[in-house]
Amino acid sequence: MQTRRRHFLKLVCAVLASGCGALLRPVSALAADWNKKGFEARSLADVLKSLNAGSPAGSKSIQLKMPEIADDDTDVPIFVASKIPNTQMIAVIVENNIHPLAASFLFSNGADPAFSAHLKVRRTSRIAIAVQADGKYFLASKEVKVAAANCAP
Amino acid sequence: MTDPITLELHRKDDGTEIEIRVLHPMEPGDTLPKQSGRPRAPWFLQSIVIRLNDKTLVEGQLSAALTKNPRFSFTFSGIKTGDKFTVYCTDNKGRELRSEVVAQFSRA
Repeated sequence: MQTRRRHFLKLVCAVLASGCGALLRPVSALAADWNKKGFEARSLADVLKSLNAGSPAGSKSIQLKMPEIADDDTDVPIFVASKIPNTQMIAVIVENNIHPLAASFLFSNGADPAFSAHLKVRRTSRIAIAVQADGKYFLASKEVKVAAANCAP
Repeated sequence: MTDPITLELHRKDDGTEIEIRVLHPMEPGDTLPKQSGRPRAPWFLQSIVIRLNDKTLVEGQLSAALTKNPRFSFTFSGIKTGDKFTVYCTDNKGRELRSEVVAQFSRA
């Protein structure tokens, strides 16, 4: 009798644990998916490698709007939109930052592949946008000049 | 305490814009050892998830290269009154933030 009760308790605990796991999943699973290799990479080439992007083709269907000259290196606004059909992922890479990969976004359920965000850009740099669509990779980039006054320590 | 995530919806010509503001230091941590003072540990958001009702629209991976108190906006089409957006964020210390907003459009 005792052993059966133990067994039942164990079963209940297991079910509860897996249930809670499922509830927490949407967010916790993502944290585990964080592309550590990509975010710790030190060059555009290594970032692209971490995304398995191979050598992406240039594309004019990637829209990147940002100022040509940034007054504040800690807040550079960018707007990115991909007109490439079936865009699944967009990554933002600040080539001259110590760790170039800034962010990446996966779009699903018909969400428009576009966003605006604000970046820290350490010094004048090209901003590269990598797009994944139908398993293929595309790249577009533009330069932002960081105002010299802000380079003083 | 103020809500760490604020959400605002704006109706636009091409859809509904969701504006997301998160109160977070986005601290990259010290890259070089300092002569004096306490070293700062990295503390930044690692992920953001945007859900519409029970569907996931956007899953983002983030880094300390985003500004302090980061702001994002996305525009989605076909949003109706009563649709619920939920935004989740997690940081590198395992803290989870969450906020939601329900679309309310006047019929005018």
